[in-house]
Amino acid sequence: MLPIRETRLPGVGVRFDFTAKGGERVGVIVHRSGRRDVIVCSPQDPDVCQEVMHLDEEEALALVEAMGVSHSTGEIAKLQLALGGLSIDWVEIESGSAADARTVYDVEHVEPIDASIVAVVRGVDTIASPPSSFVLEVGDTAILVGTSEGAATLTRLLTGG
Amino acid sequence: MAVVLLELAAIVLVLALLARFAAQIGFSPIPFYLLAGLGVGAFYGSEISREAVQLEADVAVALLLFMLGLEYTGEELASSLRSGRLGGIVDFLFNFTPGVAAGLLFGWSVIEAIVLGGITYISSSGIIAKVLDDLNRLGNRETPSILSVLVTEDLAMAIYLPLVTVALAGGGLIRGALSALVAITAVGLALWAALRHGGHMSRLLTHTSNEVILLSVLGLLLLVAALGELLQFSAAVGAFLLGIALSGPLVERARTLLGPVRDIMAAAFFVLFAAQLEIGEIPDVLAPALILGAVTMLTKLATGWVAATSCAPPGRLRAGTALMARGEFSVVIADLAVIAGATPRLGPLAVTYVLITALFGPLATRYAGLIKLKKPSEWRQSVP
Repeated sequence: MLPIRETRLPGVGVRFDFTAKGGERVGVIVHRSGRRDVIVCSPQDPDVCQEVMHLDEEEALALVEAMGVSHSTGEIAKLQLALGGLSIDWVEIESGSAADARTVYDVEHVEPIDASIVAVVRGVDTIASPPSSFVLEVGDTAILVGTSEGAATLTRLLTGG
Repeated sequence: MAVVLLELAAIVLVLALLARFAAQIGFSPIPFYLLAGLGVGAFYGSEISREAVQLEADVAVALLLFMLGLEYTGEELASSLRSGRLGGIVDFLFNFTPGVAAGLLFGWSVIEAIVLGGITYISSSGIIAKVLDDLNRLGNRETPSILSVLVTEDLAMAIYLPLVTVALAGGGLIRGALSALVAITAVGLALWAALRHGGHMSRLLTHTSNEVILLSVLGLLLLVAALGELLQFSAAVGAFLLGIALSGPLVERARTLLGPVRDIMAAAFFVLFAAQLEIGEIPDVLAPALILGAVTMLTKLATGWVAATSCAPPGRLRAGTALMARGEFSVVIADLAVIAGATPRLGPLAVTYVLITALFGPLATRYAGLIKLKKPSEWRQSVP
């Protein structure tokens, strides 16, 4: 990540800024009142703000939401959803995983577990309810459902070497 | 009674119109309030009760300083003092000296000259912060330097005000210096307390009801101001310290709740201050005020130029012009002297001076960009 400079503006708030690859200074002024100013300075004169956008708290959140799409799905991938004792989890098969080139049946029956693979995402395809003979490979994302212990065990089997 | 109410209504409505007009043309209302005050003084000058004016002024000044203290956190003050030292020293030397020199030239007493020095020294943080925001300059590179000069000035007031208050009260400069020493200790303690234990007092004061907060903060403010007065180190400084000492979420609420109270009291203060002056003196002080204004706006330009060293010449010019405006504090200082019975010229000179700088300063910085020094690309090439 680019290094972000933090400058105190006494009586106003704090300014965060960084220099983008194109040379523009880009930043945000966080006012004490909650207002946020988004500032952009041209590469020709980085002292002056060329563009200033005043956002209130709600608008700032909306902007973050709009900008953070790819980032936030990445975050969600690490989350485990819990529904009344049932756990849903995502696991990506990475290279070196013991599950690579093995069937769903083989992975699920190494030891008795209270979880199963209910779907596999491969590239743009989603294979819902894959047959026992379905062969997993590196890059697949397996979707698991089970008890939280079962899901944890299955995750270990899918990621372990 | 109806007549008094009518007159009051007329004054307040005129102020409302002036504030509206000022907002429309993008100016601070302070110079317009002062003008209105001069007008009121011309008609009712003799009827205004001095005691009422003084009481109003005390409360208004305490509120102004309290809100100023609220603006800054202890950490900001400490870090500004460290990073803005050069700018702060240059600022004091360049802008305090012309005022003192002018006062001595007029044949005033040393204390009156020091008062004038204070009036020319202190830029208006209220006007300047607003101008920077209006012109979308808060994100500019020169802005931290400007703000740090303002913080240093405001802190310097914590030493200057008690010194002048005591000296004007006839205590002489030595007792004034002593009380300034007390004030410095108090400021140091308040800063330390705010940095270490700021949360405790705020937690004691805080409450879900706005009314409770408003009344307890206002009450505490008046108490601290009274204590400051009793200990002879000026009510204003006590209020400032209280503002610094508060911290946390209470600050934001106190600011929202007391902001309107401050605005009303300050508007009344500016009007009443100008109203008690001898208008007849203004033509006499006009020329000196213009010269003093021109000189000290140039010295502020130099201050900004020095303070914003890290910026390119256009940025340094913006910083210098931004600092030109004097406002609320110069009036506060002049008011101290007028109440203490200083030379009758001081008040009118101060009002004229503030009018000139508060109107010209924001204009100068708005159009500072039109002055073509060199194109930014050219100077950038000359920097290795």
